[in-house]
Amino acid sequence: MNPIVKYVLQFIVLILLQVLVVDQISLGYASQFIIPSIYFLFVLMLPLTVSNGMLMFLAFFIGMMIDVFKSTPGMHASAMVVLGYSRPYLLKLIEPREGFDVLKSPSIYSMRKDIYFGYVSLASVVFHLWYFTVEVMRFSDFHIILLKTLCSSIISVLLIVLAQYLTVKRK
Amino acid sequence: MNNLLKFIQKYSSFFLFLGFQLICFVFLFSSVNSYHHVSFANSSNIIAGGIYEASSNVSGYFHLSSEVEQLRIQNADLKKKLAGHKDLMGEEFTSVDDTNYLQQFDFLNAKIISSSKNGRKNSITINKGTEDNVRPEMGVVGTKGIVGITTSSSGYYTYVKPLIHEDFILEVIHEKSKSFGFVKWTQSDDWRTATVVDIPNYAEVKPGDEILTRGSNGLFPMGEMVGVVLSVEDIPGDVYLKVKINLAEDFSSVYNVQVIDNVLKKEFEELKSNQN
Repeated sequence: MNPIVKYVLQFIVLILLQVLVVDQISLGYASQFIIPSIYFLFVLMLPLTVSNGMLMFLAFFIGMMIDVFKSTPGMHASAMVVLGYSRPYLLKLIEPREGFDVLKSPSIYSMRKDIYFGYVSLASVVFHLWYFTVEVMRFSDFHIILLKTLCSSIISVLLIVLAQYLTVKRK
Repeated sequence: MNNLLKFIQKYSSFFLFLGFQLICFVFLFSSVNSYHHVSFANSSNIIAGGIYEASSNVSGYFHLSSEVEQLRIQNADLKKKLAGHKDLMGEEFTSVDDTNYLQQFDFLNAKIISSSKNGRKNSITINKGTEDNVRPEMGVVGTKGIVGITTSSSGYYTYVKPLIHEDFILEVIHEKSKSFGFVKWTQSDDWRTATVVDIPNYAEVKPGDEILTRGSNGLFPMGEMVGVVLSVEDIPGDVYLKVKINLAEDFSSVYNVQVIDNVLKKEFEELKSNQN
């Protein structure tokens, strides 16, 4: 499949999955702290060759889309831009000694599983930490921000790994 | 100059990052405290609204039985009230077409097609818009209690700022003592509770008392249910009580709502502006 078509499809499917499935998950009292997001997987899956500017622009764009759906002006976009900006640094942080295969886009099959898990977890923490900080917007409630970040990240990472096994074809 | 350019080039992605963040925060802060309009395209737009409606057309069936039950209860309540009127006017209920009796509030049925309850800035989208004469600044009530205030409308969808939004504020009245205060949704509240402030501390507020709308801004009729008092906190050194209430409406399952159109709102507003 043409890579552009593939990424456009991923973009649409992830947005729909986020707003129609993941946002509808209700866990009773725990839903206050568990607000998972999986759509940022889009930015994590972009090829390693994509430029920083493009990365941030696409991150901003998908964040804005989610903001439109959730009526949260700029909050998701802001967190996504942070994630887009920090992705090269995250990759550098977890890069194995032999380096990455730059021709493949990051997925659970093209990377070692533990490295991929670390990559998604770090990205998830960065994203949620920024998102909840912007949402709560006061540092006196920092323990709430941390709790929300931790709970949401764990569930998000689980959902993302699950989604990878369900969607990406084994080669 | 050359050095400056080199500097910018070296840190170009960081400046790009700052630029994007600036755009995001402009959006964020332009929406805060803008009671009359939401400048940002929100879920009342045609694409997001359409997708949510298609999804709610399917998922709506899953809540059908509990919704029917709620409507039955409401129906029974209304019948009770109607029975009282029958006694007054004889056997048959006839509407009185009299200039002495003017209907002040119109109710329009609507369905919630998307809602959130876990964030600090929660949102609700309903499936009626300007085509059905829904305008910004109208009250929205559910089957059990008030839900929120409309903020912006497109042709067929309307974005509602729910009671569980951190910028929401509404004047309410404590039913027993007739003292009034404001209902707010504070940091310590989740989707089942809210806080009433500005009730003077000599008012006897007890757990279980009802909190109703005061109808002071013309958005809601007087006496719409808001919630039931959960706990009362007397802050030392303050003349006001801090009252925690259990919200009457269940924001985790609200589906059928009514939009309230105040026919006399214009008149009310003219009167208010004449005062100033």
